[in-house]
Amino acid sequence: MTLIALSHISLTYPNAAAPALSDLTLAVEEGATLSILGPSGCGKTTVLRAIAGFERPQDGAITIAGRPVSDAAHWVVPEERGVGMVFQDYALFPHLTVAENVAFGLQRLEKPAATRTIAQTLDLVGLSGFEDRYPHELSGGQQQRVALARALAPKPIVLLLDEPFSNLDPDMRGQMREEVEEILRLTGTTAVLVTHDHDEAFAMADRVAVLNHGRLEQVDTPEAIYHTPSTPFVANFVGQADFLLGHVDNGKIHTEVGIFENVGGHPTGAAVEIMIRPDDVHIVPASPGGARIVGRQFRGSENLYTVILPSGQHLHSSEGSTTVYPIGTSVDLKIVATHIVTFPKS
Amino acid sequence: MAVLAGILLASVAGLQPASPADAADRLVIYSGRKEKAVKPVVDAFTKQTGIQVDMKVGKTSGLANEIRMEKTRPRGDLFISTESGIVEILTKEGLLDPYQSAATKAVPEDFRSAAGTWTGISGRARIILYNKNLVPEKEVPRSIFELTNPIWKGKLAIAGTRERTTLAWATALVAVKGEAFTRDYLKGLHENDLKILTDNTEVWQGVGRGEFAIGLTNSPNYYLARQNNLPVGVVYPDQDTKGFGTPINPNVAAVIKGATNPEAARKFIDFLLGPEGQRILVTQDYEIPLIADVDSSEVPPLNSIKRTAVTAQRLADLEEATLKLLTSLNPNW
Amino acid sequence: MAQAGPLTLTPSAPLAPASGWLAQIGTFLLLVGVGLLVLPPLLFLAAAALKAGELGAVTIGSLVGLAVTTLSLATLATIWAMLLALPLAWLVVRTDLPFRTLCRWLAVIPLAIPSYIGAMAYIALLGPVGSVNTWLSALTGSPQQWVNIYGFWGGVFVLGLFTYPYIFLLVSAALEATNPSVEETARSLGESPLGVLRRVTLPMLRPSILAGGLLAFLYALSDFGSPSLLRVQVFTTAIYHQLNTRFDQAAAALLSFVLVLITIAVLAGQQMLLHRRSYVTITGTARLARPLHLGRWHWPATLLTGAILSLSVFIPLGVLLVQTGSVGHFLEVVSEQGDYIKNSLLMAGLAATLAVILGLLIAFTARRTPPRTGALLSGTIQIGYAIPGTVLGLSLILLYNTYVPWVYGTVGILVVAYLIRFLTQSVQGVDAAFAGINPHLEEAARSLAASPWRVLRRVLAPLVRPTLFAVWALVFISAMKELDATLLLRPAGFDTLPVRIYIHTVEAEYARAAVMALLLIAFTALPWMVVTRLREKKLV
Repeated sequence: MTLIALSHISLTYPNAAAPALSDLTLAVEEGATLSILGPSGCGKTTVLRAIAGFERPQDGAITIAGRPVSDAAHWVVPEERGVGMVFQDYALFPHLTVAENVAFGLQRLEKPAATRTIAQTLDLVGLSGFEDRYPHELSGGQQQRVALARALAPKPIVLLLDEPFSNLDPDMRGQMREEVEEILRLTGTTAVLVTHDHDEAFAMADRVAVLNHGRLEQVDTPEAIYHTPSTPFVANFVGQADFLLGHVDNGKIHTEVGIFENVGGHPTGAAVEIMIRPDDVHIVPASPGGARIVGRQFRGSENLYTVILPSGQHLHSSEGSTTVYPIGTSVDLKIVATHIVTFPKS
Repeated sequence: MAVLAGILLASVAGLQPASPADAADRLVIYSGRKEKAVKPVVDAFTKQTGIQVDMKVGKTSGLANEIRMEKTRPRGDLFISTESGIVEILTKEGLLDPYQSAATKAVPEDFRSAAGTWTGISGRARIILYNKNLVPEKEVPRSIFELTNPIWKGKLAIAGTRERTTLAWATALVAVKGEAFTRDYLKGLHENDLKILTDNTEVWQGVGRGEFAIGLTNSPNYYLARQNNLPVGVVYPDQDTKGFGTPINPNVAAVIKGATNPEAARKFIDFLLGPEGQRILVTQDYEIPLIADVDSSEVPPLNSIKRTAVTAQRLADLEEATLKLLTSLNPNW
Repeated sequence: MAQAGPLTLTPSAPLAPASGWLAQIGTFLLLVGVGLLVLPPLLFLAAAALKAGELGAVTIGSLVGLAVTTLSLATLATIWAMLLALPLAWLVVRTDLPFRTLCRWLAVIPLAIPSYIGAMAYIALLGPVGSVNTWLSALTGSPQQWVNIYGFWGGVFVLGLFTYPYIFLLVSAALEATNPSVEETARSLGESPLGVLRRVTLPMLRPSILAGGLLAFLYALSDFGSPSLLRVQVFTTAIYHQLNTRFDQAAAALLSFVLVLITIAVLAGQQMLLHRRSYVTITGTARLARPLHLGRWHWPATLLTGAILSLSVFIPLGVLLVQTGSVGHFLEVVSEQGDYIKNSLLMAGLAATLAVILGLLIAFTARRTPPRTGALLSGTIQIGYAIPGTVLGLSLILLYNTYVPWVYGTVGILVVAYLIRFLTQSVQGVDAAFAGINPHLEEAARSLAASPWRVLRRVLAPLVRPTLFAVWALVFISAMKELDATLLLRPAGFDTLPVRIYIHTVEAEYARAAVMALLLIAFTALPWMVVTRLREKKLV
């Protein structure tokens, strides 16, 4: 069942030249997590703020649990939308204790019920015993948990998370990601997560929506986004990608490094670009090989090599880090393309 | 917020005793006369009659403006003014109630309103105040018209028309001597660098401390300066038989039209003019009694001073023209 | 839905819309209330000014002359105040100046000294027959006049001395809030100390210098007491002349209206100058880097500080103390003033408390209304500050005595006058403090179903608490000192300390007036002292 529906949303900020969102249509299924992914300034936070009611789109409609909250005829203020929000900076009330922060949204509950909910929620996020601390006495991760608990306690229809992990240390970030995912799963909470980090989006979301300049580029499962991006922008944004020039001949795409299936059904003679991810490219030292290694980045479990083709085109390859090839090594390339993605040459 | 609410409550609660009680049975006096001068009379009045009094002391002109603004619903009962010009204006605007009694009739006619709307309660003569250290006894001027003599250049001071007694003095000049004469006379004073000060206090202090040799001011200020141990002398100018005399400005009392408590106001006027009221009023602030047989103690009695012959109505009529004349000569007036 | 964990977080139905229309009615009522408070006197003024017809006795020439004198006086006084405030603020915040905490506290005291009292003190000292002339004449044996405080430059001198704390407060707070490392970076980039001051520090402080300067400027523009005592012809004294000598209320209204128009122009100019909103708060967080070591500048800096504080605090207070006469007299007078002290404290306390509450509500409402409405609201309130007290008093008498007589004739009318004159201090202060709050906090609260009232009460108000105390103290100080409107509006039998000082001064009882002036200053400074102490102890 669709819980949140945005249809044809357009929003332009006052005094802004370009719209922040244009003609955006999105849906979030009940119990699912949707991730909105995009570079900074793409409008992804604006989507969240429009759902929460902090911004009012000029066009289009938003419904939450079937109730119109924003369209030409309806406007529901944030405090009446039943959404929970976790901010990038957590926005904890500095003058209230952990328990008081969590209790903030529970003012309509009787005291015993509120007390019970606070205890349960803090237990859920692993902060039992921290009730009387103030936000400034907590670590970043703990503050994050309080923000989560505060947003979850009133049992919101949907939980909105705005770059929730970006203020955390990298190791803390992974741990929190797992914990939050677990909590969302346990509680069956519908969530919308905004992030610029594709790893985070892939790890947490059932579906990912990629936004660019206020327009929706693609919305799909994480796997589909990664392997079969529908635009070069998506292909580039969700991971390292190289684009090789090719042309269609005889129902095949011919490129410098080999021949591929014409999956896009491009007409014969058309110039196309084929997307190749580093994990599909393998290098084999050969003398004389068809390419040469010009760069290597050590990435822990793997090495990312940059090779140069005779045409001058650069291509990336990721290899296990057990063997190291020095820069300058002459190599042959082996492309194992499980997902062939092509775009017409622009 | 709780703190604020607390403060608010405490303030409101604290106000109760501070605000004056029900106005209906209290006499409200707007006094342009000094509190020091009026308060003892008020206390004696309350003691005698049992009528409680609330006083609002301020500048006569400020209070007169208030009375005008309060026209729709007067808040004061009695107005004590330091000058008759203002009450004449208020009379014309219909803001005062006539009151005449045996007591008011004891006041000479030129210190009473023709319409009976106000009555003089005491007087102040226009005087020459001089610094004894700066002016040797034989050089002391006996007439205000001597002051245009260049020997007084840079040594003269007077209060501006913010002190309405100054305006009354200049208006009396216009009334008696004519506008052309007055203009020439004032020009002469200005050629002598007459300094126009903010108020009479500055005049008597300036003269007393030696900033100026000579000041034109009112008679009580002489005694005030003496009280402050300043070396001053006084001249009641132009006293020869054919002379200009010197204007005597009455302090006056008037019942405000529409007063909540007019009866008490009238009682107070009678009390002011009675022997006890006069005694207190005169001794408090060295004023000249206007009632014949009241002892004026060290102040010269009314009949010993030759006063300029001009009525309050005439003064009121000429006031605006005089003011124009003054400001045309010097904007500081 | 997947499965229920230990918690059944079933989405609850959207809660009943309780706050929406209530909030709207509240906003509406507030707008109407503020409008009814501030606009009638302004409209009255405009109407009365129009009645003046062919300018009454006021000529265009005299208007231009007045405008030139008034604006020059206010401008030069503001520059003088800046020259006093800036070095002092920098020294007490950034350096190891001796007794800098004490100096910082003392530097605010001049605000508690009404400018008319400051002027009287300096006339006694520097007047033509003041102490200094007397001493110098006695010393040299020649009776010439050495100094004369009267006139335009005396007005500039006195006004600057007693308004510089407005600039000092804002600038020292801004200095505290800015990171000294920015200046250190500039030094490391090869900029000389003077260059750092010119190119880094001063530009950073510009908004607070301008905001403080504006307060000082508006004060100078609308002050009556000191120019009147020092014999400077400005708008306020000309208005007084029209009212009290000529009884020409129309001409007075016309002059007042021109003054208000000048003020509006100044405020509009400030808006354009600041362009973008700059956020200055009158409370700062005391996170300080290590203070700059003065070294060989120790003595010059100490001397400068001493000189500024002497001119603005010690000398005027000293003159007043000398004037009080004997200790016995002092105590006798003090013992008689119980009622007046109580009246003053109550009125100022009531006005300050209401101003803070209204300031909170107005600043909060202004944030939630379209920007233009908000600007109109705060602009209207600012203009109230510019109406000369005497004129405001008279127009309130007419308006309130005619239409709400049950308010006029009670002390309530004084509170109304104080609110019209000083509400802007509260609105501006609270607004600036709100602007410093992370907007996410308000949004978080709203997403947690908090009504606007709850957002204000539970989130915003507690967060700006230090500012609320400071703003309370500021309005309290202004209301304690107010004389012009109080003189006209007080109910018979109800006098405040400034009114008593005025009466005693007029009656030439200077010793008595001096004692009461000291009392007034002490009681005015008191809340500021308390707020400062509490802030040092981190209690507010």
